[in-house]
Amino acid sequence: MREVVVLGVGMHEFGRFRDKTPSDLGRVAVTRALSDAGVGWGDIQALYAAGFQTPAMPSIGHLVVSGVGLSGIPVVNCENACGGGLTALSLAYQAIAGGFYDTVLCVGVEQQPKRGFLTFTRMPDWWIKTGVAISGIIYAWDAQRYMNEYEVTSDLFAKISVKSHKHASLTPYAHYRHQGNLTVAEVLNSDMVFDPLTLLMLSPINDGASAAIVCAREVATKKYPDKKPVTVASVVLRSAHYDRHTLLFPHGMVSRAAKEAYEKAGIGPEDIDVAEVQDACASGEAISAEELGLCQPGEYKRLMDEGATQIGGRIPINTDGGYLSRGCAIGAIGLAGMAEIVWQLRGEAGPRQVAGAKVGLVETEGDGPVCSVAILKT
Amino acid sequence: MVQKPPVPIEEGLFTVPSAPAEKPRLIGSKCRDCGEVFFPKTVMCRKCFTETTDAVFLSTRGKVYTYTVVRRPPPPPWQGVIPFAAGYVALPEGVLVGRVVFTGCEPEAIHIDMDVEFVLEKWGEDEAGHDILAPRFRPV
Repeated sequence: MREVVVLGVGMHEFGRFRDKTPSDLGRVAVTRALSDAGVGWGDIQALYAAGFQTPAMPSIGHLVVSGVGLSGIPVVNCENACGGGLTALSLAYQAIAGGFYDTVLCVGVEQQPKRGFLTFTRMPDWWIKTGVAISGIIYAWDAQRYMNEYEVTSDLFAKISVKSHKHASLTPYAHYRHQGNLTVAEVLNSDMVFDPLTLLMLSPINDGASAAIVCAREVATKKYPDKKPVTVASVVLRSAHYDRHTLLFPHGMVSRAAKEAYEKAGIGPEDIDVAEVQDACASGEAISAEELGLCQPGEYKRLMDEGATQIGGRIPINTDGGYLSRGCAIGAIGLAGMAEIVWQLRGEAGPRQVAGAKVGLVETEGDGPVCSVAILKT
Repeated sequence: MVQKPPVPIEEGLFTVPSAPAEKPRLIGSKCRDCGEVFFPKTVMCRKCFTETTDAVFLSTRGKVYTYTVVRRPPPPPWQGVIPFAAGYVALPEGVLVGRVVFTGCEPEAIHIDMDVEFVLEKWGEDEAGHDILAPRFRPV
């Protein structure tokens, strides 16, 4: 099995772009990634695309291809909710490691159709009718269990949101980059959506796109010797293992995916220098970071109070603002998180740079439930 | 005038009492091999992966496993009053029942581990004027 590297990454800014089409968003991310990698569209042998809510016929992958060029390559569309982007990466990884392709493009695109609650239509009718199928409610349930289990208050979630917005103020493509001086009080006093989560503790669902050129190392070394590839040490995709409390905290699925990812990469959580973790809501960052083993269960509050998870701290988390402030353009978030890790590991993260970052982790979770973890290193 | 009998919001989730003294019962399934219980009822056992389940009535009382208070109106076809509390209930046989709306008290009064019991509540009416009943839990 061959070693796999990321040769280039590119993004379209996250935000609200009513005057653009999903094809536009995807084309921008793709051309930026190609330019970053020094690769031409004609060298791409396959496309793995992720999208979720975006209405696309026939498919998001083909929409993107139609905006870039009809080269006849195989196009695979991955629908795995928030896990879609890293699902595309895992397929690319397998195809390259297995010797099927040398150079592959992964792209995630999202243009959310509307504001307000989304209703996930696969949910039972009676849930939809009784108002319990609304997007994000599961995070409120998790947050309540977490507060009950570890005797923390929503102050912790407010602090996470403040950190997130501070990081986003250093991130040119983040949606909410103008709230770098947000305070805990402002977060707590924003509209309560579902207790304990206020508006500023919930990620905005927005538009965006992200792309990555993934390559076999041996090909990268020969064809693109001037580039600084980042190694994909492991990428793992899991769904929920049966548990009576499936979907609710503790997740179990995340810790299983993480364990497998660490084992395949030959490292432990203590080796992670920088991480992008699921923060669809502020409480999610704490829960996921603990499930990933970045700290012990219930310890995230201490980590936050020590400043450990800020840029400059011991284990910076969500250095680009994460879903919370960069935004949650569902199909695009996995590869956006990976782009941030790639920039960090290359030393190209500018004011967000984590000094000496050599090993990074990106994790996403989605309705499924699905969890994906990728570990990258230089 | 003939009384219009109420209808459940979804078939197969619970029984609708036909007499005033009768209690409504949630319908789940139990695996013959491992004993795991599921709600709503399943054909397969999600733990054993075999087709070994039988339908069972579930306990009528349990404890709030988790909850939240929803403060913004969900989109149609939802109908109801804001704010409302909703979440999951843990029954003694180990199954988590969800997702349910809590009733019978102020939404903010609901808390984790609160003792609650299963009831039915009118959600709306169908085109023929029958009451549509939804599953709820209320403080004991």
